[in-house]
Amino acid sequence: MLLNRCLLSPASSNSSTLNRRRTPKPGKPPILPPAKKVLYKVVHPPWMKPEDVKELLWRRHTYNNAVVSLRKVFKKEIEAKEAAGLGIEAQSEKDDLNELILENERRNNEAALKRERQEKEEYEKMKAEFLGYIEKKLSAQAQNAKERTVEVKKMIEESQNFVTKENMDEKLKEALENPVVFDYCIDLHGNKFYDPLPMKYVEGTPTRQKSRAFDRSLVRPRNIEKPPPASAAM
Amino acid sequence: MRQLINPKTFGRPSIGLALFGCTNRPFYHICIFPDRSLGRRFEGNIIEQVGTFDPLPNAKNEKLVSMNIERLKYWIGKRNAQISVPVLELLGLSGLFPIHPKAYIRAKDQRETLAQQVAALQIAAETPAPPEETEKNPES
Repeated sequence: MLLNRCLLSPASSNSSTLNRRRTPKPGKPPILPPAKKVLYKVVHPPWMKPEDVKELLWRRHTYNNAVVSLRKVFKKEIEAKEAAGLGIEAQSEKDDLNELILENERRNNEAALKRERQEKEEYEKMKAEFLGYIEKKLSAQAQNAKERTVEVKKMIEESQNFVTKENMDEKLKEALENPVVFDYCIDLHGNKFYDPLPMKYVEGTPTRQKSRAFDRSLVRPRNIEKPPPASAAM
Repeated sequence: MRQLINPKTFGRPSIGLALFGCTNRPFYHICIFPDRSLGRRFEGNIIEQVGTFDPLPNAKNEKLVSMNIERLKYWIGKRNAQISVPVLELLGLSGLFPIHPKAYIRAKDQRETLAQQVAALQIAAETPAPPEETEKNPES
């Protein structure tokens, strides 16, 4: 409990802001008796001079008359001012209006600044995006072009060996002259075994059996071609 | 029993001097207070402050008074406020109101006392004249 009070109360000991709960009523509490100074105090004001009293009488009457008429004059003045729109309320309303207008202007300016900043940011972002797209497209196009050129060049190279109507006869002759036979098996050393041996021109009658229904490995290999040199293997 | 309020005569504010300041240094604010029957005047009771009055004279021997004439006219004319005697005297001195009768009487009394003091001083100044004359005569 002590710790909490120490933490809550301010550092200075004479703080009148926290200890006050309610403003007390003015004057003495009615239950207390009057003070000794005031008790039995009788005031004897001094007598005024008779000429002063006579003067005061007519002066008082004129003064009161003057005050009453002045009240009426002031009332008329204030009413005229209020009717003309110069009254206190009209003034305060004008002040309020001016203040509100100023605040509105301020808010508008702030909003305009913010809008400008945002628009600039968005513009930059959009620009970057579009540039990215363009770049991507261009790079894709360039890549495509490169690949296609490579392809076309390869094709051009390959077209040297294409068969056309003019080359057909020579190519046919060449093909017939150099037949390629893939009907071989190969062992780990690189020896190729052709069975049957490839023949350019068919001599005699070909065998009736053409498939591999029986296991050739059981038969002693008869046709062995010399393996190619080790450097040109595979 | 608390002060009973008469609804027929209720609702007239009063303009008076409110004492502020500290010990040996009074300072008055000319304030508008609500009806007298609502309790004696204290700081929380003030409706509006309409001026100031410094009773202690400054270095140039002036007692400074400030007044918001527009608001005073409003309260006196429109709202028909009662004005206390010191404030009436100040208004008379300022020129908005005629001079208060009390001020005339006080001024007359002060003039008389001043005249008496001046006469007494003159008499006091004239009394040692005869011994001075006898001294001067043998010199002249």
